[in-house]
Formats: sequence, C-alpha cells, structure tokens
Amino acid sequence: MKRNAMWVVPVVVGLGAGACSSARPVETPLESPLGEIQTAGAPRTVVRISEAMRDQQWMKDIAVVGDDLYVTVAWSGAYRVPKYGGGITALEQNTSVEFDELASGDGAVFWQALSFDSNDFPTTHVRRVADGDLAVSTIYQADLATYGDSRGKNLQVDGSTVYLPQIRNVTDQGAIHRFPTTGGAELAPILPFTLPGPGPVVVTFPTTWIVRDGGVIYADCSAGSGACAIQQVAADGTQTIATVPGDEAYVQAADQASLYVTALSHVAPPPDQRIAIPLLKVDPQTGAIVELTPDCGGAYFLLADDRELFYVSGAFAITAISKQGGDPRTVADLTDSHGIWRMAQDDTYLFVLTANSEVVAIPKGTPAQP
Amino acid sequence: MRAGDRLWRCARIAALGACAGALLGCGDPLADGSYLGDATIRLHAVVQGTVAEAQNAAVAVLWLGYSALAQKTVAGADSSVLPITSVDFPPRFTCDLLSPPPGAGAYQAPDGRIVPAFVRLGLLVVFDDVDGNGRVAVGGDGQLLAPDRLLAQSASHALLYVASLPDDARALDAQGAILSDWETASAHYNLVAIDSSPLYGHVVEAGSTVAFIPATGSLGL
Repeated sequence: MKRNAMWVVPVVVGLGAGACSSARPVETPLESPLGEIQTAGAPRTVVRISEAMRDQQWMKDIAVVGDDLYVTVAWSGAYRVPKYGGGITALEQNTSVEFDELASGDGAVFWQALSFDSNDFPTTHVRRVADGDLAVSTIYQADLATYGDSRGKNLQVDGSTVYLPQIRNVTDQGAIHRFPTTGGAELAPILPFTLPGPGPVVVTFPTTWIVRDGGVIYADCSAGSGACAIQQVAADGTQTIATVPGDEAYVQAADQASLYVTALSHVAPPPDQRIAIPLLKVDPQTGAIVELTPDCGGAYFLLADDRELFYVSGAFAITAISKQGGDPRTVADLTDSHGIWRMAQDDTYLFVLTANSEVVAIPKGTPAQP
Repeated sequence: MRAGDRLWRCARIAALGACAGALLGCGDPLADGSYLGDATIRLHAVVQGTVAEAQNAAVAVLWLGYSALAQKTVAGADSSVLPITSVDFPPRFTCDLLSPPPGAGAYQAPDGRIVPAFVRLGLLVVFDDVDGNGRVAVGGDGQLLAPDRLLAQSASHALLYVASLPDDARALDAQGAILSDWETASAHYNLVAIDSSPLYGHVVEAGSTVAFIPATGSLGL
C-alpha cells in the first residue's frame, strides 16, 4: 500500500504539471488605453505593457504597416494593434521564446523568435504573416544566434529577400544571411564578419547597415585613416559608393535618392562639450556628400519620409531636419520617458517605443522648410 | 436549388432594380421581416436611379482604414459582403450584417488628432461581383479591384461599429470627429446619417432607409 502511494504521487504531479504547461493560456501583456481628447500636437499612448506585467515584460521592437502597429514583447509574443490604438491581436505567443526584431516588406511582416535548447544554445526562427492576415508561418530556421545592435535594424527586407545577421554558436564568426520572404532555400550569406571584442571601437564591422537594391550598405572605417568607405556588398561583389571623413561612420537610412550617414572623429571636444556628429547626405550614384547639419547628436533610429529626416538626438529629443538641410526643429522632448528604444512612422505620426515600455504616437508637425 | 440560394440570386439582381419580373418570382424569404435572428444590424436600403447592368450585384461594407478620414481615401479598406435577406420591391431590399468588422481602433480625425474611441467606420456600396467569388477588395488607389465593379454607393449613410465608447462622449461632440452626437452612439453597430464629408454625421435609427446612388465616377469619401 505504501509502495503504491509512492508511485501515485509522482504520476499525479507529472500530469498536473503537464496539464498546466500545455493548457495555460498565455496572458497578453499589452493594453491599449482609450485615452482622452488629444490636444493638437500632443503625444498619445497607443499601447503599453499592462500595469500588472510591467515588472516582467518589455517590448523589443515595433513596426507600422498600413493601419497596423506590430509589437514584439520579449518573452511573450508578437502582436498587432490598430496603429492609433484599439483591439490587440496576438499573432504568436510563447513564454519560452524570445521575440525580437520586426521587419516589413513584400506584403508581409516578419519577426525573429529565438528558442533555446537545454544548453541554452539558440535557434533562430523568422516568422511571417501577410499584412492584415492571421496565419503565421516560419520562413527560416537555423541553429544560429542573432547579432543585434540597438543603433540599427538587424532584420531587414529588400524586395523578396530577408536579411539577418547570424552568429555561429560558441564562436565570434558571423555573416548576413539571406532567404526568400516566402520561405524556401536560403541564399548564400554575404558580408562575413568577426564580432568585435573588448577594447577600442572596431569599425570594420556592420554595426549599422541598410539593405537596398540587393546589397547591404555599411561604413567600413580603417582604424586611424580618418576616412570611412561606404560599401555596398552584394552577392556579386563589393562596390565603394563614397568616402566620408571620420573615424567612425554609420549608415542610418536611405531613400530613393540618398543615403543618410552619421560620422564622427576621435578628436577630444572642447571642455564641457561633446563630440559633434555631423549628419551627411550621400548620393549613391555620384558619391557626392552634403552635410545636412554639423551636429545631429547621434541621429539614432533615423527615419526618412518624403520631406524630412526624424531622429533621436542625445537620449530624449526627437528632432526633424529637412532633407535639404537647414535648421533642425524639435518634434518632441521625451525626457520623462527614461529613454527611447525604437521609432517607426506613418505619414503624420512618429511611433516611439520608450523605456517606459509604451508606444506613443507623436505628431510629426509641420516641416520648417519646404 | 435551396430557397435561400434562389433568393440570393434573385435578390442580387433585384437590388439593382434590373429584373423586376424575376423578382416577383423569387422564393419565400428566409424569415419574415420581424425576425432578426443573429443579425447584428439589419439595413433597409433603396437604390435611387438606374445602375449599370450587372452580372452578380451584391452589397458590401468597406471598412475604412484608421487614416482614411485624414487622408480622404478608401485605400486599405477591409470589406464584408452582406447577404441580402429579403427584397421588398425593386429597388428596395434588406440585408443583414451578421458579424463584427475585422477590427476596431482609434481613427485619425481630419485635423490630425486621434479620436479617443475604438470604432470602425464602414462605407456602404453595391458592386458587381464579376468573378463571383463573393468577395470584394479595395486597391491601393482606393478603388475596387478588378474585375469587380462599383455600381452604387451610399452618400446618405455609413456604418459605425463601436468597440469602446469615448470616456467623455459629450466633450467629443464638439471636436468635429466622426459624430456630432457621441452620447447617442451605442455599443456595436450604429447607422450614421452623413452630414458632411468625410463621413461626419449623427446616429439615426437602424431602421432608417439607406439610399444608394448609382456610381458615376470613382469610389470616394
């Protein structure tokens, strides 16, 4: 009798645990507040981590596609919400998976989802959902780790190809992997790299990069030369687009006509001043460089619309400048946000993911220059 | 052929007022006029004027995108095709909307501000379902995707689905955002009489007659 009892207990516990783990629904950690009547020009919260989950969950990335805002929450899922607020739709939820960057293109939205084996080695999955649809598919899976730099987007789409840096597990060796937006055979990786180690800033590395016309564009800066080559790397070779002055340079964004690059020199600034970081416009056809402003304060998360560039200068200020240059204007000061993690846009609003784990919609305002 | 199928075929034609004779031969309605069943909202409609000849006339709601009012475009709209449940007499008909829209959220008002209510606005149209697939879609240019053709559009009424009413409905009345009488709106479906463009109006009885005007040009707000 005693023996039987001993056997019963583990079985019951095991069944109980199994039932809990398989049947327990994942709680959506997001809420979209209805809000009050908006004062003209004022920011408005679109979606945020709910009060009850704020200590456990955080948002990783956002993307605006059409009428929808897509959000990944690190250990929760990928979600869609009407871009100015509304009902939240869970596209994928799994508390054992780390959800990371989002990208859009080719009529679909993509996100990284990382699972981990018993040794904590990651497997990267890239999911796909067609715009406005609910059916999620996996278009890429590899026993590789991802590389992420918060200054740039690491999951990008160009045409019908997805680009994603991957690192071989237990190594510092990586490359940018490419695969079709609808899944299928992976293309040959490009731009192999070695992760930078500790020490001075290593600049021969695609810290920030953009993909355009089938090529990855990044700044390659040879240590001590005082100049950085803007390189376009495609399957058929490497082309130098332009050379910009500086010890560090970052390709931040592109539109049909131009690349937008920040560059800085390792020269000690005057006392009580920070290093000036110029914002440059580069013509990819001619290599001509125009300085839009002598100091953009970093120009993090730079976005281009038809007329202006929007970026974070310093830590909290969102600034706009005409693509033709001129005086920058302040769009918003989010000092109360404790930091800005990501930005996205539509025609009239910037969508800003803040360190407060909320996404606020900020009116772009009226351009100062035509 | 089931009575419902027969009715559906006839009703689609009758909605255009194009086959009065056939209409008189239509089978019994699926239910009498007082039965609402699971209908979320029942629309009573009339086609004013003569519309183009159609192969498969049908009624649809085009659910406007959340920037539609500010950008004055129907581009990006989702759609629901409504079954016609009865034909009273050409060109009058009744149709039911049996399900909620594909989503609800906050709209950007024409002045750029975000309206603090989670709703969905629907434009009512009659179209020729040329490919007979029972669906209609709006392209990036804000027009129906071929081969389907726009036959008529209601300039008098629109649908408003309310998922969450504004906290201060009365204060919102003065903002010129979608409705002039938010305090009258109820949860779920409301029929809105359009007072001015783009889609600004007031709530009316669900039994009000929705007038469809034959399309003379393109789809618009």
